[in-house]
Amino acid sequence: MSDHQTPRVNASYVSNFTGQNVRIAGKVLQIHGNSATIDAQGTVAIQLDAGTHIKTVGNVVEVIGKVNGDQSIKELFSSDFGPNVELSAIEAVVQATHTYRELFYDAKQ
Amino acid sequence: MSYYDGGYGGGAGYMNDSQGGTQATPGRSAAKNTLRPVTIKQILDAQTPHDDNTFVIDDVEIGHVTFVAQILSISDQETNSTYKMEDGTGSIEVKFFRGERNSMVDDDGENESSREAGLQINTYARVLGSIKQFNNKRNITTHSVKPVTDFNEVQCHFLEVTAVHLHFTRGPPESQQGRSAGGGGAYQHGGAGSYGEDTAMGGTGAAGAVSGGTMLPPGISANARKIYAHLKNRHDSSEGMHVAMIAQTTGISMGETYKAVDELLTNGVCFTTMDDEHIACMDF
Repeated sequence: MSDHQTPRVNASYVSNFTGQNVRIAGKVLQIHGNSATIDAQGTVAIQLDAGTHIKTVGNVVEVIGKVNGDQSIKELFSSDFGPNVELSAIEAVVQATHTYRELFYDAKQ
Repeated sequence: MSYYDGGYGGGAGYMNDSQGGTQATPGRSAAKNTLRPVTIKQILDAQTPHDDNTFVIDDVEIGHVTFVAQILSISDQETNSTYKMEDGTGSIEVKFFRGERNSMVDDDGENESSREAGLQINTYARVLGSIKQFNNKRNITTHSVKPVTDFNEVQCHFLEVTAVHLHFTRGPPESQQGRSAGGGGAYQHGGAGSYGEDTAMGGTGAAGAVSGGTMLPPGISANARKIYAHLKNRHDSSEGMHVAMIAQTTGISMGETYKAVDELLTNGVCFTTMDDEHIACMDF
């Protein structure tokens, strides 16, 4: 069951989830070949998958991926949310996820 | 015996202690008409205290649920489509029945096919359905799966989930108490289900109305709210009401009643009168 859990995080939570799958949403800052950076309350590097949906700088994307040892994220899947998404709401969801964890994910032992 | 003299909302103003005379578990039928935003994790974690098909989250009985999640796979069968969905908190199968869909709402007869076409693997969709359990496996049966077109809905949903969870576990925020007879009342009705046995809608309506006008602290439990509302509505009792009597008339168990009364006393909204077991409310 917890295999399917991908807690929603921002840049500052990434380091708590090394080796695990997470969801991170943010604004695309740069795309260079097979890597990109997004702003999710801090800059996060994404290692792009071949089938990535991260194509437009300035759009908000949600990335499901695995946190590497260097705190970058290896993309498994992404969704393009378009340019008109409220970033403060995304941040509020991240805070709710970790403050009321019982609703969102089980802690890894 | 006493009537609640306020808040006969929801079309079910039973006398509070007249359960014997009413048919078929009023608490449950009341809960059936509720819709609660949830995460899939909450669905999987929901308890089944009474039987396999009555689900309880945060001590509140669940009627219908709604959630926003991504479609992992789609399999179309003769009578239904099964969507495997996940929202980052867990995954669950959603069974979408065509027959039920056709009979549900008549205005969506034409765009049904195009709506289904919008539901593709990996897209976000909003589901509205009910929880079923079969062979210890939970799934959702539904008549409404709609693609999410504005991604703010995803964030909105999770914030709504959190707000409703906090409402049930900690009570409404102070700023909303003034209108809890209306908006909060709707949640309170859901609350009626959890004390299922002989809670009547009229009673919880009254609870909503009363707590709206007073200064119950936000952290107060649903039982304590209900008792407070009950005491508040008895205008004849300057000497207070005995705990056993409170338990009997509100349908809350003795143990829970003591706990709730204790909470009210600690918060200074009620006081003991002629002995430790007679309770009255502060602002009579």
